[in-house]
Amino acid sequence: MSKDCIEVKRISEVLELPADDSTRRHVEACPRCSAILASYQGFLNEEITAGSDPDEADARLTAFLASEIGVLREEVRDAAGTKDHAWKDFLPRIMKTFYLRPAWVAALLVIIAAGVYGVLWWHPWTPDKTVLRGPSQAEVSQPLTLSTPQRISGEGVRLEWTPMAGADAYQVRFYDRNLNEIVRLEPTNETALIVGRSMFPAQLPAKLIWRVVALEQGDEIGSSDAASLEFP
Amino acid sequence: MTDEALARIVQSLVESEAGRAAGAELLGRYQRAVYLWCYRYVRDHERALDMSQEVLLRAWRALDSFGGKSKFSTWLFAIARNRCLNEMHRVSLFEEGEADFDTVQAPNPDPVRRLEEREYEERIYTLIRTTLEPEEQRAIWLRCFERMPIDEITWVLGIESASGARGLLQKARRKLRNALKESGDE
Ligand SMILES: [Zn+2]
Repeated sequence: MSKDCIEVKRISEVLELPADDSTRRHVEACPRCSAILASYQGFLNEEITAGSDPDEADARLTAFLASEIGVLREEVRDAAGTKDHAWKDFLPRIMKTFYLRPAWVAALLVIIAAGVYGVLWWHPWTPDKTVLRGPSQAEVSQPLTLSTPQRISGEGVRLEWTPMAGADAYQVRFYDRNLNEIVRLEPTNETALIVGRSMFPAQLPAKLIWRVVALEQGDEIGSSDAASLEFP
Repeated sequence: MTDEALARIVQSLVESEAGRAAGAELLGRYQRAVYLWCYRYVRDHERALDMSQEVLLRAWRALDSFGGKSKFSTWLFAIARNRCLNEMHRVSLFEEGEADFDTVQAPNPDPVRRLEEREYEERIYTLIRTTLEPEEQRAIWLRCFERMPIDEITWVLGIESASGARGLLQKARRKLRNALKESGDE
């Protein structure tokens, strides 16, 4: 091992360096670092070796993690973005809620109407104009970070986040404590908005998780960490 | 959501169900890779499963120490690699068989011996670099220091010749033995 050798847990960083970078040149020329990099790439390549049984292993390891961690992975897959049908799953649930409670039908119509006019939130608790202006493009900063939610009058909570360079819209997503997505709002070009309990399905958990995804032409280009949110 | 964002949720919502759910998702993403990796080393389903469980559990318990400076996948790979190294015999640098010398993995408690070992390792490192072609260097390193099975070296390095890594290792070892003889250092 030479003094220039890099730690195993940082070995992938060289892949992002330009070809003429000295660390990258070291890794390419060093038997130890180049071997470990090849080994790491082999680790990520889930090629099936004859005699192995990855499907059985998957099932048993899922059960193992569930018992060790105390939660089953199946519950969180959608929220983590590995599949994108959380919203589709949510619709039947919310429609059932509307069916049971006709008042929600009116609420849904208001949300749709609000969307048509480009108003990206719904605020039944206050008649005032509540679109909040975020900092101008000139003030953009990275990365996207969330401010602590501020309780405002009535049941409203003001959510705010820092702008992200390159983003032309932001989408706020809400999850329950198992990270099942509850609702994602229409994308907005603002960096703050007000949400209220009445925007959500009736059986709203006491604590929600929220995060903001930065979009450019509809593509995700970044996201904030997740933070918790409690309605008054 | 990226691995690193999930790791931050685990860390910031520790002890909550959301934190645990994020942890299950994060480790679940890699459970298959960890198992297949361990399997390539030991070629035994049950043994590879036991090792995978240890790797995942160790990662889960150490997740608060994941600093986010490295990628999560590399951090987890480092844990899996250590587990596999511990499972495998040391391999001799000069012929195919178990090694009779201590290498990087088990430093001698005696500082003088440690210095000797360090000097020995540095000489070996230089010998490998100056004697072998790049692909031979990688193959010999994977075999002797990463303790990787020969078939896996063939796969990891994408060697296409009929003799695979076995032929490459034989050639590399012959070169190393000759170089050592020439330097009068055997
Ligand atoms: Zn190196």
